[in-house]
Amino acid sequence: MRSTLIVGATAGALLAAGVAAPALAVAPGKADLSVLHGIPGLTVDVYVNGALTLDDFAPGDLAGPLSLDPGTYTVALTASDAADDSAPLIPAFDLPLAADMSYTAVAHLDAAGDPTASLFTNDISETASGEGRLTVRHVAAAPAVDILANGAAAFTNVENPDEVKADLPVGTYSAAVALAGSTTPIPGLGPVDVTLAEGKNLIVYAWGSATADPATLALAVQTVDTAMEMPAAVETGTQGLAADNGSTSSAMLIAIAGLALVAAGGGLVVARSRR
Amino acid sequence: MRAWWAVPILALAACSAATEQAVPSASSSAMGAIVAPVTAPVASVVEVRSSAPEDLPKPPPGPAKLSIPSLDISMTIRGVGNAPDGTMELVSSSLVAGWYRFGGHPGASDGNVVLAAHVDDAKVGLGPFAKLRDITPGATVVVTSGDGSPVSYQVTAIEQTNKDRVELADVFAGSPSEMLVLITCGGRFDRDARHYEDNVIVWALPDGAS
Repeated sequence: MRSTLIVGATAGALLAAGVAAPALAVAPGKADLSVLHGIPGLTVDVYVNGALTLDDFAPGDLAGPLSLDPGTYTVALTASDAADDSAPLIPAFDLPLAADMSYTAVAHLDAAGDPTASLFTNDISETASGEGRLTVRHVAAAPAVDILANGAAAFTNVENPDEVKADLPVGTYSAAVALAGSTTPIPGLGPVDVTLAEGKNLIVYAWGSATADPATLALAVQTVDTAMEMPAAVETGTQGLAADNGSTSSAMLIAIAGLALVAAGGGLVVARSRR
Repeated sequence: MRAWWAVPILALAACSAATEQAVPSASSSAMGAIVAPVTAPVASVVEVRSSAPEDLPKPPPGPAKLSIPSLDISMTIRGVGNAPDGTMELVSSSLVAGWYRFGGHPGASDGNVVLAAHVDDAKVGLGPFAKLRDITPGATVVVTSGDGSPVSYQVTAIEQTNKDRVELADVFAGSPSEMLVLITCGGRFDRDARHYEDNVIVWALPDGAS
């Protein structure tokens, strides 16, 4: 009912207004890079292209986003007291970043518990009206898991270092991670309330180690903006009462009054249906 | 904890030569494009925060109230998004201003704060924004956030532009990105399409900004 009403009022204007450019989620021509430290128990220094970029980067820390020129960046993780990047803890790795994309580089444990790094591409495509995006990434030294939303399995059998994602109606969800086939949250991995919003990709990470004693599993969260179409027009008025047209004929006024009644009736329906 | 780490670190020492390798791409999106190496340092200061769920930054509060003393305007504000037809969503009553929630937040300098209201509606007749075209440069506009904190703006420009030519990109993605933009309609009324031909747009800067 509501959309019909609005379309009726603005169809002509839309033809005239043309196409608005999309509002980009990252600066045009740039790449956004965030960095997540998901290796428990070790503070590191992060060198990018040989330069110390993150000093004393601690487990659970999230850095960025950095707005970078597209290209390939070489990243090295060293002990936090290292003098330079000549002795990385894991072999230095390259991050190929393309323009107009959003990435998160994650230093984490693989399924067997060995440190590694993964580059994830964050989905910043537009979400439908009324929906937000949820992404879940398994970067923990743990077996395959199910992702629970409001207590029920929403994604099943997710393995390190895979991700799953879905666009869901906006709102707050109880999220947790369970061993595959179980609906009992793994200690440290929820349940936690996450709020999905229009224009946002909420990214949840399960990180740490299930085999460490005690276990070091934890959740991390990050949000990135998704692309959003700018409004093509702003149509603020339907009655003509503020118009510069001058006086109108009585026949026109009667017609306007009739239309006003129709519009008022439509407004009442709108008010009811929105409740 | 430390004991647990001893093993991996020792193991790592064996492969500490800085042999570079492409990091595996964990996403389904293809990373196949060849991109040139970048050798310059990326940044000197990088924002770092905790990724714990309880530390996720909360969005700043949206605006709740609009006041323009010189026009005797006092309106409540409600958040709006995009209408299904691609236009800006509006509150049906001309008494309530719609705040474009994908734009900026007052006082946050995170984008222009865009407020729009119908110039008229069938129930109210002329709404408060019918007076907008009478505003004068230098007039004070106060937007109060949901948490009660007011942000004061000074009007810098008023325009009435045909909708064919109005630069909505300046409104929604313009720079500087801390302006307050008030929008309504005006000009001739097209009785067939039921819309006004012009947008009336008021631009204001936060007090103290230049």
